Amino acid sequence: MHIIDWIVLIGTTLVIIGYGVYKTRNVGSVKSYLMGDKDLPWWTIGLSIMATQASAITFLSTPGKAYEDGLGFAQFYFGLPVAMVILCIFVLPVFYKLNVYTAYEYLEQRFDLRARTLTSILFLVQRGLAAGITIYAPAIILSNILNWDLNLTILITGAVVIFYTVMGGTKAVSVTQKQQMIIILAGMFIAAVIIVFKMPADISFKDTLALAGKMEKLQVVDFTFDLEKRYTFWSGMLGGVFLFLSYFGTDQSQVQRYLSGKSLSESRMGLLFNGMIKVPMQFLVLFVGILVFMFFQFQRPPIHFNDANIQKVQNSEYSAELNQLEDQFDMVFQDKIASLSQLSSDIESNDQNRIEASKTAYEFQLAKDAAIRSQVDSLILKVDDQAIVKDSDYVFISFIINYLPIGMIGLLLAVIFSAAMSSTASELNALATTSVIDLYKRSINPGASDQHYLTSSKVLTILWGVVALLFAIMASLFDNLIEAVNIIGSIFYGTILGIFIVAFFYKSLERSTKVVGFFTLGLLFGVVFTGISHSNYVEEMFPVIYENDVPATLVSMLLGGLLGYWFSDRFFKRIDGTSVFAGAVVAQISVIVIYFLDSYDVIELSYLWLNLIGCTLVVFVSLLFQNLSRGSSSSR
Amino acid sequence: MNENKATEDDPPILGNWNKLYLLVILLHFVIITLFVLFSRYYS
Repeated sequence: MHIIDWIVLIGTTLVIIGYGVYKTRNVGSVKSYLMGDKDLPWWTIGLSIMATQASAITFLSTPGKAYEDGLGFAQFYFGLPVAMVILCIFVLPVFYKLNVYTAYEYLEQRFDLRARTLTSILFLVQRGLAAGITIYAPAIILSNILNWDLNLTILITGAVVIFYTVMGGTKAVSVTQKQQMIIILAGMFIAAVIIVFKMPADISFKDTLALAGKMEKLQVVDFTFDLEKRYTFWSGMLGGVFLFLSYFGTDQSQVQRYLSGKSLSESRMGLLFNGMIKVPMQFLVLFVGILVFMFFQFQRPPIHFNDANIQKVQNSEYSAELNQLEDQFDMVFQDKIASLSQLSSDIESNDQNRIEASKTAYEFQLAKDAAIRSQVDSLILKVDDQAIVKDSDYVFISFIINYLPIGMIGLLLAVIFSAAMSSTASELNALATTSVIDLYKRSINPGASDQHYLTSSKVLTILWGVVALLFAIMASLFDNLIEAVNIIGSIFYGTILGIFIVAFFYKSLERSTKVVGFFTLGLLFGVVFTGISHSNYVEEMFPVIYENDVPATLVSMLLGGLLGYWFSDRFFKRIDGTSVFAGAVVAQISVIVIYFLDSYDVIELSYLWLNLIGCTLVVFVSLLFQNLSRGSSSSR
Repeated sequence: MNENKATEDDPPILGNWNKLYLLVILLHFVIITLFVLFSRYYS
């Protein structure tokens, strides 16, 4: 890397951190440390919320996802603006009214200590795991591409984040995130412009889009109702709303961001700002991936984007085979350019028959390209059977390093490090806050001095940082990094959201138990049965169900609904701490079981639906377990 | 914690919060519609 890139990278990072530490040099109480001075305006809150959600994985993995699958991933965020509005109406006023440090404090006020402690622990487990991946994911990619030592990259990133988070607490996180988010958005926009200018002279931006469209890369919205498909309009709007309600409403790393607002209005505006900007921002990041894809249609791409894997094959007995494949790849690439140029001129002539013919010819070349890449994957696995051959996460960073001008490489690396640090800082801050407020101060050591809790908060920030670093050093990669974080979230968020929904709406739920019973169990039966009916086992053993999955699912929903109605008529009465606790435990165990059933192909279900399953199970079982709660004290 | 303002302040634009919520939702559906048109135009 050129010295100018190093100066840009280190300079940008140091300026942001220095600013954050300077602005928070007077933090002297636990309230100020964990809640800030409650003086943040809405734009800082909005940018801070966005920076917390957008980790480095977002900027490494998302363009790679678009490179492979097109723009459909944007649908994942479709539920977000709706979730923001729901939170502004129902959740924010309650948190402000109760003056809570953490979201989980509210649960004790509504139910009892058990509900608060269980939810805090669920949060700590899932966020602790995710924090490790947030550090590890960019580190392994950067270390592979830049030949940096993996553990050193993890340690440096982690140490820097721990340093300024410990120094300035939640306010340091927010003020640095504002600068980081500005760098991130500017960097991605400049990257998009540079790619457009790097396209061949005879291919305009309009031609680029037309070609990408013919390659079916520009399909954003898919209205197909198919529970197996991960990203559709329906999974985004339904499953996504549940996921984002849970993430923004119950995840302390987000709650802490908007609770540090100057007022309820500023916090609301911050959330709504996020609701308006997030979807277009994700579209921009995905669109950069499409532009990179188009760039590599005219510029020979590497035969495999993870150079570390290629080096392993080069240094093995299979290097001659790899060289042969490289030669074939060169030839296919030349043919691919020729057929692409033909397709471009046919699009200009607007002759549909010729467009179809040249598209078929191009797709034939693409198939040959894919076959060669697959052979390279096989070679890599022969050399190292533990190697990860999926290389989409390396596409964007590979483009940055090899094709961006000097200075821009440093800026884009600063973007990635900023994103890594901003989300990790929020996570560590939230983990420490929850540990101190919901567990240590509440149950382990109540009544100590403010200074003691301030010191404990700093120590716990360091401890969680060390835990995240250890997990990052020991972690192994999932197929796709951003999905790994989302899957972990989906396993826990549904249950956490269910607990909060019961807390917020328990009176309405108790008043309408029959309706709740009908819809929750009907919905659960429908989602789970659809997952079962699409499995390979059902296809082999009950082909009638497999072939008639829609009517079979509707029947299962009706049966579930009737069963729920019958149960509610006989057993449902009231909700209290014991029933919520029991509901949460049953829901969490069920979701984990369903996730593993899906992993072993017993059922086929997109992970986004786990949010809905966990949430509805908590609601249903909380109502069902009223018998358990008889005689127990309710702190309602 | 007492400096939290639980009072219902007006939003900086549109006069009340319900109108602002509606704006966010409408804007979202405009964006989705643009995505649909974009997908169809380039398919």
